[in-house]
Amino acid sequence: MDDHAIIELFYSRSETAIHETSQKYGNYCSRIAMNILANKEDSEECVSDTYFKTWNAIPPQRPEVLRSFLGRITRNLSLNRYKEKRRQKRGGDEVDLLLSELEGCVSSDHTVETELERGRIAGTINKFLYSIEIEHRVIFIRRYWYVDSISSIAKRLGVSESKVKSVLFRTRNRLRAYLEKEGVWI
Amino acid sequence: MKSEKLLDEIGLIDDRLIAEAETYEAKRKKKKGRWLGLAAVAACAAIIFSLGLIPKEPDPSLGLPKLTINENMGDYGFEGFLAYDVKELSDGNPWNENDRIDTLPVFRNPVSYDAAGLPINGLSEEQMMQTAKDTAETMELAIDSVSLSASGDEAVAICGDVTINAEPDGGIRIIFGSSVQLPEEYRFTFHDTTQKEAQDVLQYLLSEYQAVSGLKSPSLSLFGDYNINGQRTFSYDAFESEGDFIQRILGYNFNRISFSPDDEGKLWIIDRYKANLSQKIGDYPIITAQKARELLLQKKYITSVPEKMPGEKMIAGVELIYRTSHYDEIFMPYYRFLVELPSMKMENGLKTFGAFYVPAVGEAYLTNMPRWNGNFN
Repeated sequence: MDDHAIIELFYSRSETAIHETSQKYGNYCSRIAMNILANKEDSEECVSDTYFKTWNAIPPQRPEVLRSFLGRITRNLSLNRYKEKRRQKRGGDEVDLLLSELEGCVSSDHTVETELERGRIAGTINKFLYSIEIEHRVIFIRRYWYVDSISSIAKRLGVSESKVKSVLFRTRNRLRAYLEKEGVWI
Repeated sequence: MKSEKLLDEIGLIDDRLIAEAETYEAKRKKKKGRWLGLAAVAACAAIIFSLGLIPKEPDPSLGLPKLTINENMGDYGFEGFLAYDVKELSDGNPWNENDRIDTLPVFRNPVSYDAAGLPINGLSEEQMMQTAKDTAETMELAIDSVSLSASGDEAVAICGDVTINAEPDGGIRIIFGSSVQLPEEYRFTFHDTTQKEAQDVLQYLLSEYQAVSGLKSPSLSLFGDYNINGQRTFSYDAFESEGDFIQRILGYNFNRISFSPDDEGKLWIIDRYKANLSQKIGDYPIITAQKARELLLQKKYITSVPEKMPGEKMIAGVELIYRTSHYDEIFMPYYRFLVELPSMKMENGLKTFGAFYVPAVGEAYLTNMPRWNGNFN
């Protein structure tokens, strides 16, 4: 079923919408949740919660890209659950590693608090990502949006792990320089 | 935590970017096919080349056809490694600078890709399925199913929670759904493993999976560079070192096995690579490393490093390797120089070493000696 038809099912409040969403995007959402949580049970709950949230969001929303809409909800739910687990000291996995990588992109010594409204920083990151080579962009997003492991990205794109690491290293440095140039201090 | 905030903000990027990163794999395959067709006019290559000097005539008595250098570095940016000292980047390559080699064999890569990016000329579907089955049998695994992947470019055998992928180039990947716990005395991680610990666990894995590797005389090939946090990151490889010196060089480049841990230090993936070297073109005269160094200084190199070669003093090391990517229609040897890039030295003392390739086959036997002309993508 195409995405437009699935969205219409949500609008008509047909529960088939959940079934069709699950059929088409269940694996996609599960992979994102598993990347972040590395736990089958927690991941399944997050994917179920994704359908519930989507049911409540459509209508009134009408997503332009249903896949990304669902993925974003799953990612947010999974990261929230991850944070909760870490507070309970049950975390410590790919996300920890990823956060330590991102430390290189944020300012460590800037003390002026210019708290930007949520979303403006993302807008700047969007501009940056559109400005770089497509392959570098894909590698960056696979790592920091989908939370894919280095080896998984290498396999997916048919390149060596050292190549993936090199691209990430350079892209993080470029992002940091770009954010500073744009006056964005995180 | 600031990095958490950044991670949250990355979560808000455009839907189109998110979708692009999900669907990119298929696009890339198409692009790869196009790349092969348009290699000579590769306008998007990381580095743009111009032809070098007119080659001297080859020795006709050898009857060797001229070779064309692959100018495509894979289009994935920068090949660089972080280390405090270039010696840390050594990975068991049997060649060293004191070795003198007169000739080395050059092979045609039997696998190429069609316009849609799907492999041709490699293993047939039946052969890939048989390879997957044979691997399962070698490992004494019960096979639940064997099928082709959705894209048809690899065979997949499901054996309980073990998945075996067989690829057209003969590559095999074994993924343990439930990673394998190693005996307590072994430490098997990407980070924070010492050289000695890494050697010990690799020896153990080679012994445990000897049937899968099929290596008669395995040599360790541990490679350990650093991440930006100063953690040394190992890859656990080995290669076939049976035979004479040339055979060892071929084993290092074409007959390898690699073991990957998961985050808990268990065995997660085994990759087996054994190239099909049946299409030998000939034994080609090889220049010396010293001669290659001179060519490097004359800018006759290929690189993905996004800055000019920073000078002779920065040359930190050299090794002889074959390039074996899917982009290489010919498997031929190169001298790979690792050159320190002062502009990328990090505050914690880690240096960045960039890779610069000079063809090891004599210029007289090449149709297109590369010459870097100062352009970046």
